Amino acid sequence: MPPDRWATQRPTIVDVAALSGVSKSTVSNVLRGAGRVSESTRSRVLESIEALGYRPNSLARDLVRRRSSTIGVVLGDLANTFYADLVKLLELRLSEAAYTTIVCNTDGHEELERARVEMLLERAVSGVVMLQFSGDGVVLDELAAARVPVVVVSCWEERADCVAVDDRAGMAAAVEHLYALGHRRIAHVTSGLVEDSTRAARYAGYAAAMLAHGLEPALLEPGAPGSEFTAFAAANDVIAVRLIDALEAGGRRVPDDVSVVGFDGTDLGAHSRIRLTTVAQPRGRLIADGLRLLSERMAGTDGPPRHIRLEPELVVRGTTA
Amino acid sequence: VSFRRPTILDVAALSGVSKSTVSNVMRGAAGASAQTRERVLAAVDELGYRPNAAARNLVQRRTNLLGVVVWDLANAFDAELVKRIEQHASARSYTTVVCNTGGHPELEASRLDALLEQRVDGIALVDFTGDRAVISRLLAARVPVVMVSCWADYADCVAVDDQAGIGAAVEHLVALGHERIGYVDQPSMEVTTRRGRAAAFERALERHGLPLRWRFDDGEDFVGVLRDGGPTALVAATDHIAVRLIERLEAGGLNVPADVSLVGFDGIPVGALARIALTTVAQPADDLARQAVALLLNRIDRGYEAAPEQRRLEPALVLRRSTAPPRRPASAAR
Repeated sequence: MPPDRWATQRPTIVDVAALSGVSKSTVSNVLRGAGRVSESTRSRVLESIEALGYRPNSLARDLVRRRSSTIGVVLGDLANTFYADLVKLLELRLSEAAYTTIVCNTDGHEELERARVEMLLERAVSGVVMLQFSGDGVVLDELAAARVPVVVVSCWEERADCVAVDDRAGMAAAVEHLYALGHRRIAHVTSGLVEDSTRAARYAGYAAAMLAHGLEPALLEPGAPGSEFTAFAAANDVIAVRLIDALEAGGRRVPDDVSVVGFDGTDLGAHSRIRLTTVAQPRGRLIADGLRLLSERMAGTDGPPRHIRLEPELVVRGTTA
Repeated sequence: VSFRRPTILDVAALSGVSKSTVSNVMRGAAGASAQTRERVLAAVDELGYRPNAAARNLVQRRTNLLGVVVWDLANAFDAELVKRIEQHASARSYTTVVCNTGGHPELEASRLDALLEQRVDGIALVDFTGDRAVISRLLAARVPVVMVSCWADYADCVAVDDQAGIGAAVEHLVALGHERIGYVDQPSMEVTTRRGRAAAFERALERHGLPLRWRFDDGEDFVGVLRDGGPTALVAATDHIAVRLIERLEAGGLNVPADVSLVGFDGIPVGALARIALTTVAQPADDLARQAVALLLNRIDRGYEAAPEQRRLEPALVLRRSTAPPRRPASAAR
């Protein structure tokens, strides 16, 4: 590839007009298929466009429409395979609908979340999908004030359109499974990277199930698995898999000595060396329903927040006994 | 509630001033009295008006948008790179548009078209099909491009030294006593990386006087060959392949590393789990991302005249438990 083709400036409509020897508005007419342009002028303009590699400016178009054909996606951690899978599905569906996808990682920091949403609003995105949401009311207010539709996917939010699994029911199912196996000393393990409302709901589901059996709930941070427990219900698969690593490094075998349940249903957990028992979320449904809600809002549907609650599914594999 | 966004005209109407006064206040330019300023800002607040980045960009001919093209976010290394590119770009006030192409040239072409239409200031190609039509489109659009963890002579690149990395992997296996070493990659891998690592493997075997007899495609059923006196060790072109290979080999009755030693490439976190314990050639993901963003922003600032800048980073062999001496001496093998 000849490096001299890398000129400094991108071609503009003015360059096209100059090269084809017509006015700017004639070029514009050709591009929009409007006005009266002779066939020979038309082909001359098209040749110039081809030669220069000119591309009509979507910025200018967006300026007219006051909206970009862009959707913002906010998430906590793209390195968590559950979210990477959701983003992959989202990007595929959005690009089929001719939208591009801006991805924002917050690492679970509220300040970063605010800054990224602010940036998305400055970019006049057509909509926002939050795969993780701190629950910061300011963010929702900003979105509402800017009249940018938002849908919260995979975590629960009363104040916005939302699609999520029933975290409480899922976590309760994990506890019931462990209880049925004979476990009584069961701890819940969570971390700051779990989105706030999800963390609260999963803990609540765990605690309610424990109390229903007259058992004492216990909450642990990852890294220091307590030796007094025989089973752990983790808030997600990544935490569960790391926990197994830490337990086995400390000489406790899973599931012989201690049982572990995850949440999400990632491919990682399905690996034959891990075989994680987990509460699986229907990823395809989450994205399909989320985008449906979002596109209805983008089409102008008014009304109070709508919520879709999906059922998670306990998948029993080899980390519980 | 209507979803129409408030415009500068709404602000002007509500505060009872002209459009240009609102604009002056927003830009902090002189000329508006403190009282007017206050009235305008109150109206801005009430309406939730937000100066349009697109309008500003149109004036500056900058969008502060970067495109990132990746093949498969389900590959943890790709996801990690995208995440870190987004972080480094964001630290320098750039926003990241992500395109997942699945490695299909048509999808890649249409995603790149979408990026060009959005007037991204630059594009980071984490993976690239190398499709000639796509390349000439990029060149014609004169958009700055950086290749991350892949390579092309005509563009800025940052990648690890594949040859050194694969060389170290083979060296390690030979030192353990392996003489029958195979290689596994897959068609859905970035082309230059695939070619580069395979060639590096070939050269490494040559250096040790070993024959190149086993080169597998991840999609083939080759586990039987390994059971049948084939290679005692495999080098996989990526960790993504290697981690799934452990599963396949063990489902086929071959233990890793007792029956087959396995080395990956990339250094994804899953490989560090004790249950996986993958020996691998680790890439410095954060360094790659940081340098990629730096190269791209340099190119955006300086334009295209300067020759491509190309950086090779050193990978590091990380020894874990997926490699061990061969079960039988190689000479006793069938």
